[in-house]
Amino acid sequence: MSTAVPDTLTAVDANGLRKVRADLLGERKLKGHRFCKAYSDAVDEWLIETFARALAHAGKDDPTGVVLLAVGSYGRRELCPASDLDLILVHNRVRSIAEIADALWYPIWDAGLQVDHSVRTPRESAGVMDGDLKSALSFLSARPVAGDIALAKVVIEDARAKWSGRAKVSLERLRASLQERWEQHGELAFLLEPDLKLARGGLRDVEALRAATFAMPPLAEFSEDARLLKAADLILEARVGLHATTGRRSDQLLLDDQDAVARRLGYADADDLLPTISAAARRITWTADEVWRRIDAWARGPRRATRDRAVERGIALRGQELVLDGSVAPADDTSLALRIAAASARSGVSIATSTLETLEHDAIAPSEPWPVETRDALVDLLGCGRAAVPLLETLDHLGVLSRYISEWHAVRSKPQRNAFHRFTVDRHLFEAAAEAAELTRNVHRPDLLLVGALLHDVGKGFPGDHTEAGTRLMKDIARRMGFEAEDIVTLVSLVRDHLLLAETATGRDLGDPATVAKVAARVRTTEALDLLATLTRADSIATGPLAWNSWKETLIDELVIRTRAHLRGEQPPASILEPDAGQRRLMAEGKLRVIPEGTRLTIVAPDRAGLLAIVAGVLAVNRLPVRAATGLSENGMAVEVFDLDRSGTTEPNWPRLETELAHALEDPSILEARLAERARGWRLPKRAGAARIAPPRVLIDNDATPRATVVEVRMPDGVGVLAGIARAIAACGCDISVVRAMTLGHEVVDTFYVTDGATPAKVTDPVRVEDLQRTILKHISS
Amino acid sequence: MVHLVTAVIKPFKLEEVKDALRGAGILGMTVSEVQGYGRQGGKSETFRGGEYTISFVPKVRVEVLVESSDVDKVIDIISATAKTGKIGDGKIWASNIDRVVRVRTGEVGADAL
Repeated sequence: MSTAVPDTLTAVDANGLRKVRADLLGERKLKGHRFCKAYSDAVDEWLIETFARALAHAGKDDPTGVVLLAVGSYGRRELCPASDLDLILVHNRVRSIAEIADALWYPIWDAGLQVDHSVRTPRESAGVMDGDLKSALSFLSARPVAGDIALAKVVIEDARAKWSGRAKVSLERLRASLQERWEQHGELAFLLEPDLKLARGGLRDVEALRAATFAMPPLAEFSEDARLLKAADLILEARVGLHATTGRRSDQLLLDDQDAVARRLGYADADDLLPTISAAARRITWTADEVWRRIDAWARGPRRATRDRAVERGIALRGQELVLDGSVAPADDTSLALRIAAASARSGVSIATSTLETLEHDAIAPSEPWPVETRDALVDLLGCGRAAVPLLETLDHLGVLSRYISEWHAVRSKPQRNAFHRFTVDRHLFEAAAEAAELTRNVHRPDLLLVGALLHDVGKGFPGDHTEAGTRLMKDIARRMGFEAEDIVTLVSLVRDHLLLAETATGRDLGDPATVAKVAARVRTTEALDLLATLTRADSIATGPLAWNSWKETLIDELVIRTRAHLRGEQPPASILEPDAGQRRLMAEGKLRVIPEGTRLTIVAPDRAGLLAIVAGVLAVNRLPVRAATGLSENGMAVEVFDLDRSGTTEPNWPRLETELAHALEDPSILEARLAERARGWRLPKRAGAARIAPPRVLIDNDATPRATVVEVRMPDGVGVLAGIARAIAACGCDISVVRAMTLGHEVVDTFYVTDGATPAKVTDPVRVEDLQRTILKHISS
Repeated sequence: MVHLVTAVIKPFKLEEVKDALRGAGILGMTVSEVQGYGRQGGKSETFRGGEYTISFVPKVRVEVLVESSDVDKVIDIISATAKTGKIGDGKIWASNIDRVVRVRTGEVGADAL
């Protein structure tokens, strides 16, 4: 074929274009869209000339019936130094079209440009558009470069009419392609080596916004927003810089090239450039999300006025979105922003734009220490795992997260130069918390695990060693969040030691008892060891595949096993709880007593099988959620102390509660029916993308204390959870001598000391142990 | 002649071996995380009530290209530093290499080391 085009013709032309491009690249002041425009114009000029020669070469006198269209980035005049030239040669069955095409494409190839070309009649163009989204999109940005302008106009207008005429179908196709691309290329704002074109928040997304606007013109409000255009230009500038620096076509900004690209663009170094790119990508993603919310609303059709459905205090479901119902202001209840985010993560129902704006303007920093509800709401949100990540991003984008944790701003979009890491520091922390949420059943305190995971690397935003800085910061943050003194110690040591297991496992002799003794001395308890081991795993998985593999897992597991054995050998048996003098006096009266004091409720009653189940059940049907409970029995009398969640409820009618309790103790069957009814009540429906909650776990330990079997249940909170477990234990014929229940955000960790009812001893028979475990799981999952 | 010395050692001995080789003027090496078993045959532990078997033991593989005259020295250094005297210390072997090319310069044989 090459004989069809004289070599002399192509060589001269090719040299001309090569020189133009080199000259433009030499002009350092030409950046971003200005370079692209100048380069596109130069290519236009060159192609006009080449096109004329091609016609002459093919013996065609005038251009009627043939036109050369520029599409893609070239069509938009966003041609980058190493971009493909996307060209379509449209013709009305011109006989010499093959010769014209050859005389066009060869000089381009000889100029060293990659060209994505096709030759079509108008009818062929229309046909291709139906099957191929890329072709359909290319016509949206098409413009004639040379030839029959009237023909170009017909083809382009047809294509655009087709796209907008079936807007719904077009948008569905567009969205499907976006999802696929995002999954493959990740998010530009948070990757350390992002693809500037294909990642979520990259240039392809800006193009998609324009395509969506073609289908739905009112979206121009977003696709032509000045902040969006500025962000898009910044990414374009980085892409031009990348191509110019590397001379390669790849749009992936690799660690190796980042400093050179940064300098070319006038930044000090990569650490200076990347946060700027991140911010721009966040703006693009944010706009795209908003646009798709609008499109969804439009696709659903006009909204019928529906009644708000109350979801929880201050939050309602309106139509298909979560809103603040106005009964509580974000400034009056600092848990509100976190609770609505958690509700959204749990259900997959998105938050209304107006509500997000309210949060942006009105959410304020919590008082110090944080109200318990606010801290619980944070834990609750983090506990939603992967589904919480986009919500955390949203809170961060709105500036709410930095108001709650002021240190957060230092890790926002912070790049890290480390071959192990995939993500910027902020995203790594979200990812670590999401991984930790999958592992909450491995630890006795999910709340400490989740908060520890979220903040373990917060020191990376501050000077000096990140572990030392983080240890200092965590002490202050944990205090502000209102954690108890001993929990602050645990959180601080989680940050201080978050690299301890990984470093020891790979760098020390695990067979040496001194290695294990040293780790044991640092963690002190098996509970702390479980927390640290789980954090290590979550942190490593979130870091990237290089940081977590079966090689490392095996080493760390071995260290944990040995350390646990070491700690078990030295641990004193758990202390035995005893009633205080006041409780003993009440117990001596030998009758039912209900004593409320603020959020604390003490109940004294003659002991009987299933007592805890009944008391907890009465509290549940009276809408008194239990945050924590302790209980024990002595000489036939039992005392139970409950810490109740009293937010938003009026003062309960205590005498009536006492009467109800007395009745229930006589005949528990009515209570059970009411409890079942409460548990069935209305719940927020779940959508695609809703959080996946880790399944409950029941641990039975016969070694913890000499006088009872310890049953620990770790599960998500719900109506009557404590009552349900207690009933299951009673149904197995076991007595509960001691109970310790904790609610941690949306998680529950309840511990029971039980004895075998028939023989007041431990439950040791393996068949009985399995039966107990199975019965509890059955009761709590029904 | 160029030889390839390969050593499979305990992970925590890597730093010491690296330092010792650098001290002897051997500057380049390739390190990989590997798993396997020899006479040690894996091991089992009790973990959370269940038997927990580690069938492959994590090791580090160190590969060093050296001139023939240095082979014995390198083997001696690695075996002296990686030794704990306990089971699972690993193995070292050396093999002849036909050709070596330094990618950047195109140098071949001993010049490429």
